[in-house]
Amino acid sequence: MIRRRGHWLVVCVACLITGAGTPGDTVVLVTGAACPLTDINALDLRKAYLGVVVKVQGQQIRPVLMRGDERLEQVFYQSVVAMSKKSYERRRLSLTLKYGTPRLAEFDDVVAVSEALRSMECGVTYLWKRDAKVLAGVKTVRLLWQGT
Amino acid sequence: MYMPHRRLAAFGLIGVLAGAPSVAEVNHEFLFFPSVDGFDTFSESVPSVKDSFTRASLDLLYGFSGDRFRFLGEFLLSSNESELERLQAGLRMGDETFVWAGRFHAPGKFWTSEYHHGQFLQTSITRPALEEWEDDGGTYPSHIAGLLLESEHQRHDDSAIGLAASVGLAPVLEDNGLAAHEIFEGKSEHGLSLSFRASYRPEYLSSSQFGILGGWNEINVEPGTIAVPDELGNIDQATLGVFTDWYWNDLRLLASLVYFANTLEFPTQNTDDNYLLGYAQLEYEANNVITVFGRVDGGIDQDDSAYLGLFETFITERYMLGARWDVAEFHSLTLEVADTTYGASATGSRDFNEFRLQWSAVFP
Repeated sequence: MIRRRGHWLVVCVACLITGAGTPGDTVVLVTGAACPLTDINALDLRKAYLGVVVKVQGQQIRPVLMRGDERLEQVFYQSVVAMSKKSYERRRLSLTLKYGTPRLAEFDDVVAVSEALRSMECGVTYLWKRDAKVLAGVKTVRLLWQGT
Repeated sequence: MYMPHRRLAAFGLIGVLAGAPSVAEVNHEFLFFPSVDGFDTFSESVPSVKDSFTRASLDLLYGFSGDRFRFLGEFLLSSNESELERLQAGLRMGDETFVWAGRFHAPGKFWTSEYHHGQFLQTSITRPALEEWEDDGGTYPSHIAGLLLESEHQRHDDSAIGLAASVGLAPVLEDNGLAAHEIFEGKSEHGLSLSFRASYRPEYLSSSQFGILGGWNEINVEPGTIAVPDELGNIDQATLGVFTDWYWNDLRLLASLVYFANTLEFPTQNTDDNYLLGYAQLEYEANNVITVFGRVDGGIDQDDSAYLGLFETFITERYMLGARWDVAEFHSLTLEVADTTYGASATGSRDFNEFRLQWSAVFP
């Protein structure tokens, strides 16, 4: 991404403001326990969140957005899609306007998202590790970010 | 060449719909793009241009998406017009390949394919003259009824090639400019339209791209449209051009250059009419909420064009500066000032200075 440098600067400043870099915090990628996925690489995950159809181990990835936790969202913009919130939202709108691409499902409650992941075929989302550990029926497939 | 084209489009639409499989996973999408524009001239009054006006618009987008089937409808409601802009049904032929049938925007116009009627997503208030809609004085087709193929191919080096191509019905030339084919139009005197765009993105997930575009359009002329003794029958219009949308950190360049080769067919002779039109818009994102921008619209030989002379208010040159303030996540205020020249020399060109202010947004 040519614009990445500017966006990273914005994200880093936002992280400092919001305290996203609290030591010990960890963000993980989770999916439903029934999904056969064992891992997904960072590029495929980024593609999936940017509206590209991605299949891993024969399974189509169905990304889900977590809202309502600003620190978690900043980690998502920084570590998963590598762009500012503004650029990401414009891109999502543009895909819908141009091709009718459906926007991603959004949740702001961890219990609700875990229920959704259990009912979806390989739905994935990002959660704080401490939240993911206590949810039934979901499994961690990737470490996305760790506070230092 | 009238009815066969309509039949082709109708059979294409039926084919796409008939080929749609049962829908296992469905999504409905609604987007609303409202905007309010204020316009004022701050120079002497000129014919055919209002000294000032206010216009409110609402673009409504509905999308339906299944596993392989998609449907897209776009309706524009404004204080000037209400029109079904797009109505297209699509079938996924591969992960990144769709075949659409219906009424869609010409793939051979870059800005049009990028922003459609979503005013909030384009930085500037005005569109380049080259990309103007038919009912706003545009001189080459924006809306086509027929078949559209859109495809994107990721290469091994993580670059990507995109292709969009269409075949369908071109607009006709009426008293007040081009009139696109309406999807439920009963009688058709529209000619053939071919349009394409091929793009290259060095990074698949990047927005930077460049490419070529072009088309061929048979623009039939409504009888009595042109008040000359030797009545104009139809116009064959061939176009070939280039475009780019390029980012350098906080700078962005949007540009397109298109060469036009028109043949105006009169009963006793044909007249060739060639010119170049283009624009370059540079944008600078000063921070997360402020973007300043400027654009130059112009061309070569456009002032002497017999074809452009048929469009009284076509903008042949414009020098524009503007600024956009994203006042909230999905709301913006934009202002523009411009020095504008319209009308080819055959009908007399005019200059005026303009100021525009706009609020635009997107919901939900």
